[in-house]
Amino acid sequence: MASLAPHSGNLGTRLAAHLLRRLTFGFTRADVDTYAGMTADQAVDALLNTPSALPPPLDPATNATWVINGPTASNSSSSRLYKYLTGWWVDECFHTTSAIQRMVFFLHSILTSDDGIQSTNLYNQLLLFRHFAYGSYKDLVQKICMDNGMLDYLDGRKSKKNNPTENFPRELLELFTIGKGAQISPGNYTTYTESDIQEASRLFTGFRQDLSYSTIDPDTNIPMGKTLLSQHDDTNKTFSSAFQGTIIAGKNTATGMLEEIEDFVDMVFDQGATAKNIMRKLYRYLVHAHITPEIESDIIAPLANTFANNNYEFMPVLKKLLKSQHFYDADDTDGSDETIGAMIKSPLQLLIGTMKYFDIPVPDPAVDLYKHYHNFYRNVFLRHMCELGGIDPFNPDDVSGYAAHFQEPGYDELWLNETTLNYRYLYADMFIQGKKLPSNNNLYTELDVMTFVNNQSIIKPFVGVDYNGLPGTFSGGRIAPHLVDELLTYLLPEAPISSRRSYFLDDLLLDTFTPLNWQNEWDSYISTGNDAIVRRQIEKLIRGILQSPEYQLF
Amino acid sequence: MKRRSFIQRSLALAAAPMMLNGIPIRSMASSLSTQAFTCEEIADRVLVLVQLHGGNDGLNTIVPIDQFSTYATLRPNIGLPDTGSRRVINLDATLPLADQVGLHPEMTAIKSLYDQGLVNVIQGVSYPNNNKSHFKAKDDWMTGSDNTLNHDSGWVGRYLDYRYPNFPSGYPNAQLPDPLGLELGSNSISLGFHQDNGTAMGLALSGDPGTFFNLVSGVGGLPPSSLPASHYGTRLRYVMDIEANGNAYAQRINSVYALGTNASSVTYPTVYPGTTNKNELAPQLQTVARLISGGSKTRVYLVRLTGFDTHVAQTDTTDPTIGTHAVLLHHLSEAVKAFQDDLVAQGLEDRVMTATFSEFGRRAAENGSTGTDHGTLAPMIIFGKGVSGGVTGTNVDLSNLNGNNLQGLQNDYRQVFTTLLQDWLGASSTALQHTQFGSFVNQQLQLVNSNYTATATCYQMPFPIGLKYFTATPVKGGNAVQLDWGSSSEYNNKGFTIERSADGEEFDPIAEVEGAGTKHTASAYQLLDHEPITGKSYYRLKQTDFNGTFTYFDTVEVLIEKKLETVVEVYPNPTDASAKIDYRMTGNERPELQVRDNLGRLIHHTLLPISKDLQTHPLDVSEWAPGLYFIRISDEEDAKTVKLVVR
Repeated sequence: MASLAPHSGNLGTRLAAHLLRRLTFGFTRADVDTYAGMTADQAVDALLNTPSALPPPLDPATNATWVINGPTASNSSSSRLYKYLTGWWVDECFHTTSAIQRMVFFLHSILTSDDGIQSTNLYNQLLLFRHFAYGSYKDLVQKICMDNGMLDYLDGRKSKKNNPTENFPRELLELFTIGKGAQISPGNYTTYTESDIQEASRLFTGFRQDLSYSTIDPDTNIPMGKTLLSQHDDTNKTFSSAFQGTIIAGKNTATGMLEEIEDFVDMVFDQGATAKNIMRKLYRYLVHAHITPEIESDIIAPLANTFANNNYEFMPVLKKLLKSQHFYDADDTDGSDETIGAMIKSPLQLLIGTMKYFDIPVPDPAVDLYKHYHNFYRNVFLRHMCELGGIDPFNPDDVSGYAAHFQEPGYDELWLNETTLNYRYLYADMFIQGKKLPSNNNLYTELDVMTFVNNQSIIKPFVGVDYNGLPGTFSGGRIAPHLVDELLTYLLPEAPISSRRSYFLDDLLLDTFTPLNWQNEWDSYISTGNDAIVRRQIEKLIRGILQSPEYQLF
Repeated sequence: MKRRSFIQRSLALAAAPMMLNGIPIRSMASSLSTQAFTCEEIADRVLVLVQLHGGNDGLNTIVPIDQFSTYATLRPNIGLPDTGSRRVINLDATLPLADQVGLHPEMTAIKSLYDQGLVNVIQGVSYPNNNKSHFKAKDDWMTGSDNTLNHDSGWVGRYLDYRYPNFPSGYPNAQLPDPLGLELGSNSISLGFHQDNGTAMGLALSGDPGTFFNLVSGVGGLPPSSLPASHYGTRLRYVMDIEANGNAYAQRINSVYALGTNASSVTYPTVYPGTTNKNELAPQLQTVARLISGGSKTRVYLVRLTGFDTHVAQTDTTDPTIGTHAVLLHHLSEAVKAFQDDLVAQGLEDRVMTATFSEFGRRAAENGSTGTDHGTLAPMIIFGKGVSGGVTGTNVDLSNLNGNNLQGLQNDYRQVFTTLLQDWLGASSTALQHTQFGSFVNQQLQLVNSNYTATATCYQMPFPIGLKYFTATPVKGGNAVQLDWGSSSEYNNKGFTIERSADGEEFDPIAEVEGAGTKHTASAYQLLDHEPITGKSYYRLKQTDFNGTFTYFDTVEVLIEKKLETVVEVYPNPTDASAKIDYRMTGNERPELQVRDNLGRLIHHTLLPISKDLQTHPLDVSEWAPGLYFIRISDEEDAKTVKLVVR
């Protein structure tokens, strides 16, 4: 039986790494070791932090930011700015250990938009998502109705009194909140009807973008859209029995228009289906794609109650879920439903995770802004590696977001096909060779495996007896089984069985020679300074790990 | 001691009666029945490399008979005896004494192959100042490197890259459906198969032959062999399935393996007699034979026997003829013999040559642990019908050691491989330059029987065309068939002929398209057949070189369905209460029914079920005002409107 009862005891390495995999896009060896010494309660509380905001992104064309007042003619093209901003967002993952980016991306994947909107608007959306990352989803939905980006993306800005557009209200009900139930008669989807959409579209008339960014939301201090009273339909809106026949009084003042939104959001969230719908999305994002009747009754339903009873705040439900026995596969002895490692990494998760763990450097913006934003983030990271892997972050195919987040029955399996898997495996070669493959162009970064293996904060020294029978403290790379275990323990979701460990150790690193042979090679590398032999074998090992099925999972 | 320098081919040809090489008379007789090979047959040849992993003790494999007492002094505990039932086997007593060698007593099978003229023992092979690190030395042998030259790619990989340009783009293809190189007995692809840009030109086959092959490809290593019964296991299986589907060679290898066979008359050894000590090499060679028998066009195989790093307990402490090394040599000898017998029984022996190599030999004197430490020179042994039987070079001089190391390099290993590439596989000097063996070109050893030696006219050019795809698609509503094909590169390509058939057997040419000649980049071709055959038909592509040779590519099938017609009929007409609509739409989306009155107002609309057969939809008109109505049914392909009068 699935249970939200709290998990007790220290997490240890395996569970700490599990928590970090699910709650961040990337982490370091030191992070795992730190969280391993904490209980679930302590670790989750620590991870649900909000790091202080980074300075806004800079445009290499002007060496200044554009996101406050919008771009001018001297800025880079809008499509470039969109990628620079995305790179800026990714970059934060390398500087913090926090659930914030995972939650921001979760909110974006529901309340989505694409690169058809202005980068400035995406920036403000990111600020908004960050503001509400652990806060009230209900309040966020209210804010998104007046968000410049959303007004643009779903055509709200074009909605007129005599010609309301249905786009935004339809998605608001179908995707953002209550969700579409079974169709029980023409135009009736159980949870709402076509007439509700028509009524709501009258309610959402007369809202416009404010691209001077001078309308500031007093609650969040983030720029928002503005009202255009003359285009607002101020008559009453009458909703169907799905909403208990609620009538929202039409208002004819600017404040009244916002009150109408508030009334509408209240009405939608008062339906139990909304809380459950969002909790299912959260579960699929953080735990596992498949929700069985057992999970629905034991996990989703109580989480939805907590969510609804706390003004739809994420913090209480995140704590409940992430501190639960269920999250750590500790709620029963049935191994068949265990979910650790049972999700497929998105290319974003895979790339950021790899770069962060292996300490693969991003070109320093303080040294070369263009190399940082343009050469690396835009051309290499986003337009080459992410896109070949099958994701264009902050630019999903359509309003439903990323198919792997919502598309039944495969969900996260949709990240993979023969082509994307092939490219994901090529990431390892790209990093190790420092080349964009298959073109062989500059990757603007490189994984130097010797630097990595010699980094004692990542590969700990070996304490014990070496293969000459001498006790002592030895460089981690020198003792082959130790080196392999140091990597596998942290990089694979579950400890490999012995034959699998032997593949990494004996086939890849040792090429079936002995650890003593390896130790001699290592000593010869240390005494001569020539790392050619050990480098080649270590590259083979690391390539093998990064190109393993296990490493594709999290 | 009189020392003979290695025999180059030119020298050997001059010394025509090959007794110099000590070939027994009876095999000389059989090799006199001159057999000419066509260039196509040479193009079909296979090279099998047997890696003796760990550094084989050459001195206990091939013992210098002429220096037996020195040998016995150097190796008091592990030295093989020259008397008794387990004494060394004199490989060829017709050789001058200085060249006579004693085979390890376990190698009776190799002795019998030698007596058939199928074996050449190449003495004193290594490279100058060879490296004694396992890792470096095996990489050197795989990459064609030495102590000063360091290649990051393999010599096999570079050779294959010359022969099959642009790999993997355009591969597998109809002409070469198989992996270019295959590695067995290893769970990862060795450096030997990698070309300069890091691409692996081969695959590794892992797992038990005959059961399930795990294909280890250039990207992606060996998948896990057992999966936990959890959601994690389910997801792992999913990733592995995608990986397997993505491997273009997986199905082909399985089908070739299924098609192939091993001769029923041959029993491959499984264990060392009287023990459970498994012969690791035999099943690998058995698989190679079966793949070749099944029609595989793979050019180079790499198989592996491990365990030769015999520092300790190389032999039994009391009986030097048994123990670890004896078992390994038994495995080698028996496996190679069974392999050869299998090839002969299946008539494949003209196609296959096999060569052993090891990263280094071992020291001259034994160490204190009934073993030997890393050394220098060792013999290589090559096998096959195409081999020029005999011993190449002479015994190492045991009285002239460098410390405890053998010295007197007779044959650089690259010279051996160059010979095999040039004389056996038909590599031109351009190909050998590309392989980075340029400095060994035209210095071939007399290893390949002159009847089998590839001559310049048969040197293998780069593959003429790498066909990436050939597809046939019905277009224009079935009124034409669009043929698309593309190549990754072309050599000497005059052009293509498109052939069509109604039955898949008798083809008629319908068009010719000019080729790109020689071109190193991709080309795409398209042709429309405006008079396609209704129903099933077949297309195939014939590619012709400027020299007139041609190749057929796989046949593709296309089906042109009889064109459906849209039907919309309404009855009874006029009506007063109800009507029925018969409809048939050809599209793939649900048709939409719209009813408008004569003022154009929409009275009724609904989506209808998809129907490519005639379907009936009832229409209730009882509440409609009398008048004229327009019934319109539409889908993404077509729309049709009929009138209905309601009374």
